[in-house]
Amino acid sequence: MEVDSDVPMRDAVDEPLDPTLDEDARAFPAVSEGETSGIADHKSNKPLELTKGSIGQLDKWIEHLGKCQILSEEDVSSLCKMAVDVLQFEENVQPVSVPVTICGDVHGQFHDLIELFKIGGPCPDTNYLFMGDYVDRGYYSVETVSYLVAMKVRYPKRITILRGNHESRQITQVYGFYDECLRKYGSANVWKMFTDLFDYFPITALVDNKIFCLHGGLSPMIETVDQVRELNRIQEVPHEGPMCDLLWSDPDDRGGWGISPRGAGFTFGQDISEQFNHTNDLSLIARAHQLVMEGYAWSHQQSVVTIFSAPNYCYRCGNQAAIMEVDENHNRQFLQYEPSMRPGEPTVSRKTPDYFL
Amino acid sequence: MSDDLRKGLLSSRFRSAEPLLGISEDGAAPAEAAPAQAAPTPPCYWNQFFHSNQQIPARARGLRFNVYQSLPRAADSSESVPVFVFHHGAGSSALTFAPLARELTSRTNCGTFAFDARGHGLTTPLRDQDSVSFYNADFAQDFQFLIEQLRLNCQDSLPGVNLRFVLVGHSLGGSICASVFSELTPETRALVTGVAALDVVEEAAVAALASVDTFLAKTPSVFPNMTDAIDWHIKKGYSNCRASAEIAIPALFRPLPSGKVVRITNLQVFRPYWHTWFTGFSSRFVDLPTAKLLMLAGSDHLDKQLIVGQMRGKFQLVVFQESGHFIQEDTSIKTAITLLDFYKRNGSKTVVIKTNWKSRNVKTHNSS
Amino acid sequence: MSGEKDGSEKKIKAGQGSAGSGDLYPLALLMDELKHDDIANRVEAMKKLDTIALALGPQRTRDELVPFLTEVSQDDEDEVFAVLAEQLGKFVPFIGGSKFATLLLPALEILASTEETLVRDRAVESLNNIAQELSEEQLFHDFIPLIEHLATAEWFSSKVSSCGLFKSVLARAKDDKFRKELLALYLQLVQDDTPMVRRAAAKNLPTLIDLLTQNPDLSTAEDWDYISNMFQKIVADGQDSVKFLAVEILISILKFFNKKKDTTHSRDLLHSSIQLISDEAWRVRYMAADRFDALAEEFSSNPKFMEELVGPFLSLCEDNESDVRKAAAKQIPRFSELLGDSQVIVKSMLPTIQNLSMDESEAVRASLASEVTNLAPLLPKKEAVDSLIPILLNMLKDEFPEVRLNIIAKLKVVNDVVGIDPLSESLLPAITELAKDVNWRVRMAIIDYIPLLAEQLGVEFFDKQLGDLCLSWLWDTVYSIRMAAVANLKKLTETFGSDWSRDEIIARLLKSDSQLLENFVYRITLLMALTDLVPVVSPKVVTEKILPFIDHLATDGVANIRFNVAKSYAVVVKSLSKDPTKFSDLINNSIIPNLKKLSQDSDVDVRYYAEQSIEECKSYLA
Repeated sequence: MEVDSDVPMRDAVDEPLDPTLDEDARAFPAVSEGETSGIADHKSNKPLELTKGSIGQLDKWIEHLGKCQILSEEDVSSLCKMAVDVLQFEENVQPVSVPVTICGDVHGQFHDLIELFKIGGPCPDTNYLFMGDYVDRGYYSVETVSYLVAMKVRYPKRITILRGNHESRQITQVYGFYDECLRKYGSANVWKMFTDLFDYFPITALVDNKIFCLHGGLSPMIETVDQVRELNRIQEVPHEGPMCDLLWSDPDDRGGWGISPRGAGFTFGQDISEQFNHTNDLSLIARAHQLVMEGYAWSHQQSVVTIFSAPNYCYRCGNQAAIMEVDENHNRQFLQYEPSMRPGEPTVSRKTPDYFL
Repeated sequence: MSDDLRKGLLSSRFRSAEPLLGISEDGAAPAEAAPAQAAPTPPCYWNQFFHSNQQIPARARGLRFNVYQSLPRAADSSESVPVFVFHHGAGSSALTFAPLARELTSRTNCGTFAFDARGHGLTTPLRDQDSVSFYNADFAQDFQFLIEQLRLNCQDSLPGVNLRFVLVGHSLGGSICASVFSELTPETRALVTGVAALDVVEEAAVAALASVDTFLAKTPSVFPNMTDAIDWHIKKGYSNCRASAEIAIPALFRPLPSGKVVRITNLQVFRPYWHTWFTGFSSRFVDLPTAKLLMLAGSDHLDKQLIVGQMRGKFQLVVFQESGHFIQEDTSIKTAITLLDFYKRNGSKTVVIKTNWKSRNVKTHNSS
Repeated sequence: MSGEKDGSEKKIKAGQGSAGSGDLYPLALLMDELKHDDIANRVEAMKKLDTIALALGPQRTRDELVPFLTEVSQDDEDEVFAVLAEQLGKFVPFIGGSKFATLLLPALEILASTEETLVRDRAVESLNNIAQELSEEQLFHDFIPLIEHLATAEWFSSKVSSCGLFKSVLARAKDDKFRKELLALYLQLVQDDTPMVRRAAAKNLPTLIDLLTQNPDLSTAEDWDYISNMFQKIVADGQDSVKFLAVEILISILKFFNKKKDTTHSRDLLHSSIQLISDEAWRVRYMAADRFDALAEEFSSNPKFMEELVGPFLSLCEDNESDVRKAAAKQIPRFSELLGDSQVIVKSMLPTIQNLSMDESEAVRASLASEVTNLAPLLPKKEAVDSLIPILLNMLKDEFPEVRLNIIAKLKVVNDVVGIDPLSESLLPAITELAKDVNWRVRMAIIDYIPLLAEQLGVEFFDKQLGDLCLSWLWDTVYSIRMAAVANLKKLTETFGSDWSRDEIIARLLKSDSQLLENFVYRITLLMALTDLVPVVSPKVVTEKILPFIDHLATDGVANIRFNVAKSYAVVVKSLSKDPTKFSDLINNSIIPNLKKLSQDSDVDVRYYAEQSIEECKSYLA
């Protein structure tokens, strides 16, 4: 890990970094790319079939996690191994049927995820599609991602979990998930397992062939849904290219393609969205990735909807959260909600830096 | 230790006055200030980092600015070439950017420009010391003056070169960059590719100002010699890179006949102006109508405005976890690479976005 | 980072092993760790002090570790100190027992003098713990001098700490002269220049007085001169934040004299109480209002005194500060109960309640609403109906939901006294309003009260007025409300019976709009509602009304419905299997085959739940 930036540093790779570069990097827990957690060492060649025993185990984990308690490192390892054998067989464009409830960023706000299920109904009674960004920034990334992955393994047909730009080794080292794993488990092993698992998450979903769901947005290199199917997604989120764009891009008021101010992905205008929906016979692009104050926001004359499911993001942004219910007749209903009441929520007080100059 | 306890300790630490340490042995620094007219001598070695050093008198500003720069090397006029224009933070000096400037110019044909802000380094008042004020607007107007001068100078000495500016400010300097943008003449503004702010977050900066007395109490003004001064800054973690400290720290001190060195900038005189320095920075930065890069040291400690801005994709955020506050000194190479990348990405107004969409020719535009 | 931590743990374990051989390894290691640059390492090292002490043994802990720690306590960061202060409180066993306990005092004395409150508080707590184990001689020889040091130090922080230590010695000072000296010292603290010290002294004074109450024969008149003097000083303090602590002190003083059955000072103390109640500082009045029940209780044996408190109390209820009114509003029923005279209540309290119920602050109104119904049993029935009920009815129309909810939550008390009739007419609009509140937790709260209300209102009123409402909650957009509505229907059925449920609930549910049922959310809710009713209605209703609907959904297009059908079958079989002879045909020839069909479903979850239900059914039939 050379540079820890929100944005992967393109070009930095062209240029061999100065060997002195890391000398001043004090005790930063660099994790070499080569080392893996081993969760994918013994992949099965067919999708996981649950046994009575594994169902019992999963139900126990889900109950435990539902109380916001973490699993042991060994249990996380077993869970991730099972998850690999579920997720590796999902498609880049995972087909999802209606009815389904579509959700956006959660970012480790576990109690708000529980609130989401109180509003939308529990899984498996309600079918869910989450569009990424489960970890980072909130205080309970470990619990959140463990819970969703356990749900995914237990009810693979009832819940779909896509990859967001935060489901990445680089990003999680900066925005909290890495530190949280270290704090809660005393080592980076659990972080390694989950970030290895993230590589297997599907990157887009197609609801009843009509709603294209993904974390970020469109890519100038992806004109058809079929082109997504051709990508090799089992890898770290790349610094650029179509897979990066799908997880990073934003819709914009201006037409055409634009450079993204984020430093990764692109911005795309209404003309692009309409063209894409037309080409692929879609009614809607549903995506997350951006904070919207009402929890959801239409853009491009209802060609694109942004859904954000972390209320009062970072415990300070004051935004509502929302989820979108799509029924079997493709009627859509947005449910908005406020932060859950939680006992003893950590107060947001940050260490004041020891400087001002 | 529990988080609560840690928090409790931290908050109360900033409340209580800490014992004064290492108080200046011969009184406040300005008492020994050199006469303003005497020709200032920059620390040696500056020429390893910049091509030239000049004193620019600015009657309109009432100051003689100490400036270091390297003009961009002549380029093919079809290609644009950037000048990275730096503004340092309070208590620092132009040479804090020396290592970064060298990394930039050694990698590309870009230009660099750094100067000592009022009250700092070798920039001196033309007349009366007392009449100098230090509002955010004062710094911004100085900066605006120098950027306009720089543009004229570059266009004069490099005719036909397709010039661009990237404004780079550290700490208070980042805040000044956000303030100066709207003050620039339309001609100059059109040449600005983007603004990069290094380790500045309004909420944290305002909170830190509240505990600045503790900071000042612990910051000696006089050291027995320059080596001790450098050692102290490294030991306290204000600099994590000795090579950078050896050029940046001497610029903050003036040698006395006794061999001792005394801090040039008297931080106490800024007190009446602090409240203007950072207030409004975060929203101003997010709303700048140009490309924006925020580089933070240590951790992602954004305030509400910046989080909302980032989560709406309004700017690029880079975090150097291993760096101290002085990013440009501690991680000059990575900072240089990041800035060049930022420029490359946003630099050209006619950028072509590669697309394989067959259906039509789609428009492209720059993010600004 | 973690690597380093793991490493240190291992090293300490190694140290333990070699302690027997008498080398200095554990101590050297601790010293090393305590010099670590990273504060987190030093904190971790401190946390393991007990392990190290154990390894060293008592002798060397006394000779080497404790002196070392005394040194450390003068030069580190507060975070490290905080852990050290806590650890030392548990250290007596490690140094060879209580006879050596005073060795720990010097380090703790230093820590008790630091500026950081957290460190100080822990040091004081540890000192008090150690004091428990000290002999009388140690107490006089070492501990009391330590208190004196701290109490007469220059720094406010030392003095603040000293205030927290008197409680360990006061009751153990049997010698009157000695106790007098302690109180004289405390009086100095009460009059200190620094408000922080005066606040600490005032805060700790009730504990000291309570100690004298527990040992009623210990204190002398002279002691009480001192305490009285302290109280006067605190009451006269210029700082509100000191003065408001006088309320708690006064309550402690009253308890002492009540315990001694000494009424000679009652008049004076009543006067003091009334002065505090009408103090010019609102914080003081707030404290008096907040603790009014405790205060009034101490005068309750004297009706005359109680009467004199009425006026001051009413003025608290009319205070300019809403926080004071809020605190006072809560106290009305308890104070009324202590007064015991219903005529006084009618004359003085009811008009005040009337005013508070229209207070401009919603917090005051909500506070009143949370307790005011408890007044009903204290009033003659006629007064309750004529005077209290109209106020409650008005509060049921309050614009702030919490006020309405608080009244509804405690209506039972009123119902017990006057019956529900006088209330029902206003209750209805209040419930309807709450049922439509935008905040789903408010809707949830009112649903939770419905079964209770139903019981009190009776079936006739309920059917006419609330039946539709209860059904409409089933179609709420929020899942939790829908499920609360389902649970509510079950509870109502338990109250009103199976026939009622068949006619008023089930019949109406089965007639649901077919367009509504095109949405899976409605179908699954209906399925859950009917399934929930199975255990509480007659088998006839189950087989004739509910089961056909479940069968109908067994071929639903949505898998989630089908696996819930599978779950429902198990519930039905559980209920019917109570009468196996009558229903075995139905179970074996209809339900089980349906489940078997579901166990061959194309959806994995439907298959799973069908299998589960088949297993479950077998166990019922076995």
